Amino acid sequence: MSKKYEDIQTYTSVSPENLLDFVSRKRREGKRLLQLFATHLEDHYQVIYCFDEGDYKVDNLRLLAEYDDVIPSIAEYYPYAVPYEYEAIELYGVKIDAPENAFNRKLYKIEADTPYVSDFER
Amino acid sequence: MSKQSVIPFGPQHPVLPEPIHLDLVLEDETVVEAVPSIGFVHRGLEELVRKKDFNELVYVVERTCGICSFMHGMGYCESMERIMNVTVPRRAAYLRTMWAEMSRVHSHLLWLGLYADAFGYENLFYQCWRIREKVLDMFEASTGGRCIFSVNKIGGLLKDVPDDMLKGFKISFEDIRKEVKVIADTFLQDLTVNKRLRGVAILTKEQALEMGAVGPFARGSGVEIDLRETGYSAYDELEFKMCTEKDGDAYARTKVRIDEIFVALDLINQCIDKIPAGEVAVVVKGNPSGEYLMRLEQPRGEGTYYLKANGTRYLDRLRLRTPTFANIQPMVSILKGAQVSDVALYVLSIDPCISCTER
Amino acid sequence: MKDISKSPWVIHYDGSSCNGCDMEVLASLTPVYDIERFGVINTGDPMHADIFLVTGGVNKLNRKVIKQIYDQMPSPKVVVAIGACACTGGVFKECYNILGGTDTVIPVDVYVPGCAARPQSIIDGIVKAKEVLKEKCLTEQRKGGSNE
Repeated sequence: MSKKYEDIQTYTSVSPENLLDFVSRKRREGKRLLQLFATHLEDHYQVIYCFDEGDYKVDNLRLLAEYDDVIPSIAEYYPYAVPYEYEAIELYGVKIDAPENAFNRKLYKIEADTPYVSDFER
Repeated sequence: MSKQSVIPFGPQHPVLPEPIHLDLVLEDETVVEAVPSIGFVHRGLEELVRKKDFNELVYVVERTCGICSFMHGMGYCESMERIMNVTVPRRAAYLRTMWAEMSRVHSHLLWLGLYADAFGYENLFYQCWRIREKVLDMFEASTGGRCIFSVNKIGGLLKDVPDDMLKGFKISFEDIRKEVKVIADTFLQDLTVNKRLRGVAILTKEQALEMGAVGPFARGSGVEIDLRETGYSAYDELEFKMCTEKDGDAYARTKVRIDEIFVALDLINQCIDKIPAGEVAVVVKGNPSGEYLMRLEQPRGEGTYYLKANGTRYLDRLRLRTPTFANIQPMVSILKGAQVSDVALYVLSIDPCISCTER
Repeated sequence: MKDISKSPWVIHYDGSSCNGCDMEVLASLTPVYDIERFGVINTGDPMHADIFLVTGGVNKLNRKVIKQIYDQMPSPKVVVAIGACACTGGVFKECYNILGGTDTVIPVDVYVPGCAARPQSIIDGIVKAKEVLKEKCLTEQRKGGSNE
């Protein structure tokens, strides 16, 4: 039958300090970045970086950060991460040190600032 | 050096059915840079997790996009079923696969039509859409809807399809295969189409890997990714081959999509032959708790659905990464150096779905 | 002016629609449903159009675009809101970026229900819009009518 690959997912915890070490290793190994996205949890937020490990395996780097932490940008290693980073900044208010001059500085042309941050978190 | 000027492309544009918006930086007639922006179709539906419970969300997710609507609902349900440890009955899995492949056929026919219109073949546009209507008729007979079907639910399907109807579908799809063959010959062999599409909008394999392209856009450049190989739903019991091309131009993408129509028709046939009898849904009790990242192959490429549930009726997070969002960066990179008159041809060649992208 | 209502031109703008209604509007222009048999033709230029088809809800950004297209159209003009989202905001009504239906920005003459609206009901809506256009023409004629 044509099922060739197993659906395997792993999660690795990272912190803002060692994120770039992990990402640069992924880059050297030639992994494909699927996406990154932010989620608000009770008193912190999490950013998940999903990588395709080949053979359709997924490795997720789970980054937990406080509201005030600044997360380094991974655009140096993955240039196409910029729209995802802008999305996390503009919709979720995550502080990512993303390149400033992309997309005329704003990807989402919306009036609200960080609309996905609910009121009690502000 | 000649002066640079910026012209907006869209949101209201005769060639585009959807409000895509690009700022084109031009030197004379040549594009130096293209800057995309998002917001004309942005609704913010990921935020609805706070207002609708996990069962109602199926209907919201289906309305992310009216073209690949079924696949969105399927991705959400499959993801939720994995969180809740529910196994859907095989009959439901087969029907989901069949509808998913029917969605691929109608979506690719729709795109072929729009693309033909963009390069000036109005007749071919109408022919593609005429064949597409036959697929929609079968959707209407089996689900009741033409664009948005609402047949998925967590734990299976809301409706079963009688076996007689499935046998009838098999005959109808044979007719469709013959008709697609005719338009496929026009697309692939016609001199004018060849001249217009060959060597246009080239994305090399290196660029595709470097910029993270997905779907037929990447497969047209020789990148082998097709999430159906992971065998979700009933794909683990079906035979199919991945369609790839090497050239990476607009013609290669058209060829990939035409080949995929035939593969999809094959898969539908296999589904109808192998479908087992039985129930189409299981009862699901309780609230979900946990997280899962589901990936599936939409007509436009890889879509991901991340769900995080906390044990209540309302989810913590629903994340949709749609294929067009991943394809924006490679599209912008190939636009550099294009002629203004070709921009619509470049943009449409990735099969953009703006309402998916902006959500 | 009275003859305008016999073959009005339509312009279609996709608000924040999910594409479902969009594709149905396009499908009703193709030969299977063939709305052109009622004398209607689709145009991309607001200045040529008499009937404005809007699909999808209104958000903060496309509000200006819809208003602009409406203002550019010559009077008399008819607005048709196609689909649940264009009528009321639909399933996305509670989203933070959606203001509501088309009638939050411009006056709507005909509402076409459905999610997605079927080609049959879209055709019905456009035929109704032709009647409205005829009435509007007559009203304008009675008012002054010297500018024919």
